[in-house]
Amino acid sequence: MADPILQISDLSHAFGRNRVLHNINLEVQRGQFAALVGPSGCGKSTLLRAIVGTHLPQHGRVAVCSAGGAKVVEGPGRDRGIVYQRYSLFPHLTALENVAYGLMLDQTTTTERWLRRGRWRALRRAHVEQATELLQQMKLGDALRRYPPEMSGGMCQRVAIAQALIMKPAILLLDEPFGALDEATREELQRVLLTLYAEDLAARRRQEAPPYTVVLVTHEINEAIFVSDRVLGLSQYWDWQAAGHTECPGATIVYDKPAPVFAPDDPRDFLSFRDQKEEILHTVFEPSIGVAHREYLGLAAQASGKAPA
Amino acid sequence: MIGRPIPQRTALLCSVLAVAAVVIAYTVLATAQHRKNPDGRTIPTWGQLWGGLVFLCQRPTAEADADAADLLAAALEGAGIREEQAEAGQRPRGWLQDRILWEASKASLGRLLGGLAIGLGGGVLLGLLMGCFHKLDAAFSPVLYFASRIIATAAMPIFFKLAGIELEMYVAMIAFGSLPIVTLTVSQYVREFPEELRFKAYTLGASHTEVIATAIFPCVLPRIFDLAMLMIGPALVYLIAAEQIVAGEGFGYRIRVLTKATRFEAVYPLIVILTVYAGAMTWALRALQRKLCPWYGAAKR
Repeated sequence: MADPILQISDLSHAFGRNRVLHNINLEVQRGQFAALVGPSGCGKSTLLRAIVGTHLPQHGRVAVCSAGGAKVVEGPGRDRGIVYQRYSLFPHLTALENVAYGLMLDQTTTTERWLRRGRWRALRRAHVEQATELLQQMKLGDALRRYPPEMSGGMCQRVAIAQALIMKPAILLLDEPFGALDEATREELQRVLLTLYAEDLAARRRQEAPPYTVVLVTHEINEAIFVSDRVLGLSQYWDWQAAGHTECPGATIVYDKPAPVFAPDDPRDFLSFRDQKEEILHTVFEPSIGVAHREYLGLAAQASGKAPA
Repeated sequence: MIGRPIPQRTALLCSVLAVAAVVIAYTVLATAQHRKNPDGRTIPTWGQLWGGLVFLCQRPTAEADADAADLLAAALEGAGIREEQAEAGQRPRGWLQDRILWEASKASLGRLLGGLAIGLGGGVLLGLLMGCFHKLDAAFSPVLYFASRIIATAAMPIFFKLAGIELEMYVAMIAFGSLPIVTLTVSQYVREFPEELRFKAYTLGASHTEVIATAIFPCVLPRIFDLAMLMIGPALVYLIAAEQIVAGEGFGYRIRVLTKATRFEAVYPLIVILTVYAGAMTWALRALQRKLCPWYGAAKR
């Protein structure tokens, strides 16, 4: 049964005369892990920022669905968690304080913290307990009191993921979170995402709503296929002439297909999805391609029947 | 190799040798000068310097300081009045009261700290707001940029005319001299705050006020301490320059009157003590920075 968390309708955006995104239509279901790939500069981060709400699109709309219905994104909000590649943690807070930071902001105000000290202290203890438990699950029990400069890049990104997850956002957005890390650390963090997906699967088996929905922007196609269950390709290389444009109107979704699901303990056998990787490289990254992409928009066609105009 | 670290012992030895070289050079110079002119005090000997320091720790009296009687008349008069009051039981006289060094320290440090408090406090607040809100930045930047280029010592006559020659004038001058620079610098620090962290704070539920109070301000606080340490020097320049012209008490005043009386054996200790005060303030700010911003040390390492 369709249970959309994120709905993007007719989204287009330009920076001055530079048209970046064109007519993006996308629906992400609750519990999906969607990986967004595309050539450098095609607008992946622009699309992500439109979802976060920090850079609203010029045309179209982004809506996040909850129990109360679909709410159009008009700015950043706590229903959308974000993890960036750089500057992922507040440098003046320890790992524990970084994770507990969102709970403090969400459940108290500055005035309350100053004027109702007793209540704040009790709340703070609860926040610290929650944050400690989550960091221990991330295998960071020894790093609770460390500041970001005292932690490795991998540790910082795990804390950043915990910082976002503790808020239980409707959707978690990851903007190339592992781009600056070495291969071994990337693998470790990919397994963290697979563990979250495994929790989603377990929830579905119990007939419960899956707790995590993720949109991951990445340059690494292998990573995109390995950690996600759906791969989206954003590209400016599509048949815009056939659609009646005299110049490229911007990047659009040219690929949308399911990806194989892996368990956290599965080996990283990239050869097992080599064909899909080749298909993505050809469809999304090949500048000379000019054919219609309809055959590659399997999941989008299922969801809404919409395709690039 | 550039930047090669050295053992702490070697660093300490180098420092001790440098200080010793300065002390030895001064001793040689003073001794040579003293041989030429035994009564001269332009480059005082260590013994004369000690005498000057003792003089600064005393209450001024006409007998003890006949050469400077006319220049210290005002201080003597003030001290005499206070002595009479003490004897009449109207006003108890503290141990430090009326001693030259104590009165000068009280006057100068009070002016300095008052001016810096307003200059730094006002500058940090305005700089935070300007850095966060572009409209405020557009409104205030041109005026503050111009004001920061005004040479405060050149504008002293205007301060004397507008604010008089009492405490308010010194405070206003130091505040005017420091506030524009502090404001512009702090607003620059705020603009350098990564936008990703700002967006993240919003996604974690922060309001605009909380983004400023719990994310931006703590991150720029260590650099504000660094800025405060840098502002001590210029503030002292404004203060001493003004005191040398119009003050009736303070380090600048004392340096002026003692120089006129060629009492350099007292002038040099005054300058050293003023430098020690500046060093102590810097040390205190650094200690406070370490206490309030423990992550800053980790970031630097």
